[in-house]
Amino acid sequence: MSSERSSPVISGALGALPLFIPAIPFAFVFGVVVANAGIPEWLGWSSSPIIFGGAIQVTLFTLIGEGASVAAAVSAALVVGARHMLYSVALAPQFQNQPTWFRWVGPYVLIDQVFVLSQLNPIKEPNTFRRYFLAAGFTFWSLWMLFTAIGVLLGPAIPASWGVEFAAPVLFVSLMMAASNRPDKIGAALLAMIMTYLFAELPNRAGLLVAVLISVLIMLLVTRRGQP
Amino acid sequence: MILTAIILTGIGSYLMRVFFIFALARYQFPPIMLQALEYVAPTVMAALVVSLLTTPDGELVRRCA
Repeated sequence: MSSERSSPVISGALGALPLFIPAIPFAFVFGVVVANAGIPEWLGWSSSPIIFGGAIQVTLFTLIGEGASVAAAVSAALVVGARHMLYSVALAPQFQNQPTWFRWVGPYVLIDQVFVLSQLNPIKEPNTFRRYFLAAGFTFWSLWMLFTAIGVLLGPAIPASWGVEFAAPVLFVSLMMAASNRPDKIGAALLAMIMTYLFAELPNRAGLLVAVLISVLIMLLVTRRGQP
Repeated sequence: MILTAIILTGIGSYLMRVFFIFALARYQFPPIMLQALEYVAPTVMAALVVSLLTTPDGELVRRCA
């Protein structure tokens, strides 16, 4: 990824591009949801800079479109976004030894794709990490602003036969594959798939959190056996 | 009304992302914790894939993680 020679800004921006491709159909899903909820295009789009999280935005407008109260729609959207707290914990070590402004600005662009990229080859050097993170984050940000604008304008015109409803699973399959860049991480991902299936009955995505915790614990037990 | 919902969601989702960056700014992570954190990305993404595909009513967009 970011070798000593190549600029961290360039490698961050280039790393973002392939992971953005699966997000493009999702921008059209967003446009359809905004149209179905009867929300003006500009108001729907304003959630892109204000919230900046595709799944959270889609959940919010889906519920508003179904006539949910503001409190119900906002809390459901935040439940969907709760996984970002895990990203915040996982990135905390790399945000130590960073300037305060970056601790405020960095989390604004902390989305699934930026988190996955930041975990591929953790960068130890603080300046390199900061430049890489911001370049990847704001590349995604710019593309999401552009494509959600296109999405709210053209999304409702997309024929149903294109199957954009598969946008979300496809997006997360690509992120899972990108994040599993080591044999033990592949093992962790497989475990998490089994555990999520087993705990699928738990309400409010609690199953997801339980599955992640159990998988991580099993991985620690397996990989650290016999070590001091 | 809708703008209020957007702004509240924006504040909430930002706070969730920023909270532990500051809360753990001075915490000395033991090696076992650092190893555990390496598994967050693959396990969360894998869990999202399965929870999206096992939605009982097949309403994928609604639950799109």
